[in-house]
Amino acid sequence: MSVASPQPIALETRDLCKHFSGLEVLKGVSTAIRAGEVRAVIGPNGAGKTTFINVLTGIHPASSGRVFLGDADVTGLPAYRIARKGLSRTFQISNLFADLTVLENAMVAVHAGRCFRQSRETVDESLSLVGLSALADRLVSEISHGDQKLLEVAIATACGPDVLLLDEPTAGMSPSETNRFIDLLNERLRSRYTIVIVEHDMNVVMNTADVISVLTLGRILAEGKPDEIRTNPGVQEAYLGSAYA
Amino acid sequence: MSVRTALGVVALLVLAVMPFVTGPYAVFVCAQMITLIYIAASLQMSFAYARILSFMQGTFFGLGSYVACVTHGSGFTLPVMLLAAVAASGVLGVVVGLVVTRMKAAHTAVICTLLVATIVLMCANSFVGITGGEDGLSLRGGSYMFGLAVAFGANRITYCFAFLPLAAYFIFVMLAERTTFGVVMKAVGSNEVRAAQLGYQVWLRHLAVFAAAGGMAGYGGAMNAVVLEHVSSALFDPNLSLTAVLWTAVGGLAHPFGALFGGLLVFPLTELAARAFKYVDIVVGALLIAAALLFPQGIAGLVGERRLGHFNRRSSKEMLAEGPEGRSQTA
Amino acid sequence: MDFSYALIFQTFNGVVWGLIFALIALGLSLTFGLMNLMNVAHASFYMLGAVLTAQFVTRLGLGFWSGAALATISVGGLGMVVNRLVLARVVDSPPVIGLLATAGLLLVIESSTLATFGAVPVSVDPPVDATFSIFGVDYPGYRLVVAGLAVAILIVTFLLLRFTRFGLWMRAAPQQRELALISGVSSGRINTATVIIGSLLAGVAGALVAPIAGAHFQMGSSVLAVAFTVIVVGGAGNLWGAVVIAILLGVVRGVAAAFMTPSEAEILSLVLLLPVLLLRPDGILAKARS
Repeated sequence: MSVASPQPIALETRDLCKHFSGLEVLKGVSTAIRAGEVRAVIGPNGAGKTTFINVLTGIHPASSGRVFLGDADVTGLPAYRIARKGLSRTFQISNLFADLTVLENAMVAVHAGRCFRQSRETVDESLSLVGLSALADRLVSEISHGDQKLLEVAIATACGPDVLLLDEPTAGMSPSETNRFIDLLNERLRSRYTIVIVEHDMNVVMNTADVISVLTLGRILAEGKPDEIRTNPGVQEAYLGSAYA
Repeated sequence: MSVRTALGVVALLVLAVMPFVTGPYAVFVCAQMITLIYIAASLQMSFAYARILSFMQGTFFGLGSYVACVTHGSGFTLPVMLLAAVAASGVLGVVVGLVVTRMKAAHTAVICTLLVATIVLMCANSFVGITGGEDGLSLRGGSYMFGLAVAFGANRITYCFAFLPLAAYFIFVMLAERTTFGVVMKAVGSNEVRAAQLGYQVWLRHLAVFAAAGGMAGYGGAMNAVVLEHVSSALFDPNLSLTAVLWTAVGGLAHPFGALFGGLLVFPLTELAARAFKYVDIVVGALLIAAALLFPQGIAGLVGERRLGHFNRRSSKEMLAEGPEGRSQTA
Repeated sequence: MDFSYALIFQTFNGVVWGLIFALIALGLSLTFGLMNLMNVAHASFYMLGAVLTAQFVTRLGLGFWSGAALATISVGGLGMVVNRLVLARVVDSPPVIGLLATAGLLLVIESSTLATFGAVPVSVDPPVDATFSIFGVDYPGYRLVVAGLAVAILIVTFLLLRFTRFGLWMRAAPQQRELALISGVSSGRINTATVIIGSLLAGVAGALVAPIAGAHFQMGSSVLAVAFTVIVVGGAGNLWGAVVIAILLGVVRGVAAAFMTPSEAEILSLVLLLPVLLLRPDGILAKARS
């Protein structure tokens, strides 16, 4: 994506570290994501991708380093305040309000948003964005796994974020669901949000990302456009392996 | 209207007309039952909206009783007695809530409420000069409400004081169930992590709920003192909280009406059993075991609770140990 | 009786009580750590240990030691039955269910005890009459024997968990439930063993307490919250932590009792635990262990 004047930075980490009682999971991650960018974070299992998201969103406090959301330093803020500053996320394993209906999940999310003018329209809009309007009155526990993942996206967007973190959004989806998700991201989400997507499925990554960061052993090994990453010998060795060599 | 709502409305209507069609004894029994339902309802509130299975709701109840008794003794009228009872137990709720709402693992919060309940019971038994110990204190005579004389004991007026706020609570819950307020309360109660990631300040909401639940149990306690004209340190016995847990468990922890149904079902049962059989706690205990073994879904509120149990176990272990992305392959 | 005399005497008492708490808390910690079950009925095992000992001694005329042994074994047997009937069925349910079921058990056991043996506290004569003079204080010999026995039992339990294959499985099971199952260990048998050891520990604690504090059907309630708090403060699943905190708690209570009435000291020792729960809700020793 060629942009004439560089967009401002939407999300930045500086030397971000996280260790769990001696186990170092993130060892100094520094990166800057520009507004409107779709950034994919890839890496083998155990690279620290989910921890990265959990530290960004404030579920785990960072051990050291800083996180900036736009101009604001959000390091160490509680999760709810980071969310209110415009950072929203989905969960790798669907983490919804299981005993509420699809519509009620969206209601909760819209109400949480900075815009408190709650209306039926905003709620409906968030569901139609991901194509779940028809299931509005079903209990979350009754809908399919793929639909739950879409609802994850719906409520993550309904609270009105600027930056959207998608933690393996297509994990467990069928190939056709995955393709629909790629379309959803490219056609509807890309234009509205700055997106960070953690993903294992290279098909999704290569078809959506503007920039890819490769995370291995808690460090960023490489960062660049998809073509650069695809041809980077270090990445091939460390991560892509035989599949892309 | 769901079956549950319909049953709830019927139950409330029956309780509403009860004092006007039956005799004094029935009024006495029902008034007592209603005050005890406050404990169960407040427990359900704390569990459903703040994720705290409180074993100290009986403590709030006992505190409310004593505060009502003491303020009456100091010459205050009924509104002051009731407000003071609610305020005192609400304040205790805030203090304890400050501790328990910060606890990540569900069991720690349970233990903390149990510990506070034990401490308060010991204090009540130890400072006999203030509490009257197991012999207790009496509330004599009556009081005034804005110039209107209110005689203590079980009568239609005290029955109304006991029943109307409880009925108002249940009706409010019923009406709010599908509103944004009701849905958000349920959501913040059922999935803390998700709610926080959407921008809800979960712990403050949980604290408010726990304090409100404390105040609610305190009001029930105050009315219990007014109806029975007596308070004693036995009110702080954890068994009272356990009884409330039983009622709520039988009726269902997931919905406010669970407390109402459980109370209406179990209280008469135990009262009857107590006539035939001296050691009625055996029956209560057996019912608890049976409820847990035979109708775990009834207790837990079907799907939601199953998921909650799973979530709780995750939150204690996985939240701390999730670091190395141990679960990334399970999806 | 001058002050230092009282202080030394009460400190000894504190250590003895701390060791008794440690026995109870260790049993509770085993069922909690290994089965993820908050066994509220554990307190009634302790109570039964004391009540049965008192009954065996006063009604059947048994000697104290044989009565205590018989009571402990009976409690262990009861633990087995209770596990089969109730605990095994709730062990994989949400924590709430296990909590309710064991709370029900507590009520059933307590009121059955009341129905069978009555509400009158029964006192038991200590089997050791002699007093020992330590630091100028005449201290009842029986309590020293209790302290020694408690230490011995704690050591034996730890050796059992540390050096037997069974103990290894018991320690492995909670961390790697699936793994333990794959390696062909029956989690049911581990749970049964856990409950039996837990109830034996509670039972023996009760039996040893009988000559010190008497036996009463409600005596379990007073240790329930203490034991639970001890295992949380000690770090859930951390057996040593629970034992250390229990002994510390006993000592604090003992020392405090030199300055105030025993019940005030008891209250104070519990109140002191509250800030700990607030500041380190996952336990003082939780971090140090991992």
